[in-house]
Amino acid sequence: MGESRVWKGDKPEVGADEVRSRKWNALDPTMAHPLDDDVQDAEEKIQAIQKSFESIIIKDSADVEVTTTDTQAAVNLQVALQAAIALIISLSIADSERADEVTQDLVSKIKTSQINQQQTYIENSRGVKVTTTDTDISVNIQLLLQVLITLAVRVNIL
Amino acid sequence: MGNRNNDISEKTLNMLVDSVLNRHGVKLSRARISPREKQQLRRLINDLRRNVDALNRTQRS
Repeated sequence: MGESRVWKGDKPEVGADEVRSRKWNALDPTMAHPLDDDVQDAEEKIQAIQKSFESIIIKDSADVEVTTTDTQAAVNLQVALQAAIALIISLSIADSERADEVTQDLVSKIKTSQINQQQTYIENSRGVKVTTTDTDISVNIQLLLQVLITLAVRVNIL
Repeated sequence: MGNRNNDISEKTLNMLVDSVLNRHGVKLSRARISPREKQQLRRLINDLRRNVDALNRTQRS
């Protein structure tokens, strides 16, 4: 098998038909990803400290099955868990300033990377199954729940 | 193995909570939370637990 030139950055040779249709080809380094125009990287990264982004585009395809986590629901759940932790701490510590500091400290300890961008682009495909998961957020949620339970046991709630 | 891992993470989290509380020189007071508040918090935590379980089930399916 000849050595591939695609990954060295050379422009691959393409047939006349392919040039005419200019369909996106994942192996062609000269083609921009179809979702590149839609993403405002820098701005979103600054603004979205606790958000996750997911976009799925399916084009000219049939029998495509996509299973995905509801990222917004996961983010909401994460915020609810943080609020419950803050609530227990503020109820069980008299000094409200100290309570705030403890909450901040505890929550910051268990923060994993929270900026995720998932982009899935399926074109000209048949019989494809895709499952996407935001692992970072689910690990974070699990940890927050464990901390909440630890605190609840200490103040005799559970 | 699963139980052992749970035990380890429980100990780790206990140590984490202890170290944060010690650093700020505070203790959690059980007496400050009324029985009614405890009951409300218990319900809230159980709801959150169910939501986390549901989310994990979605991810596994």
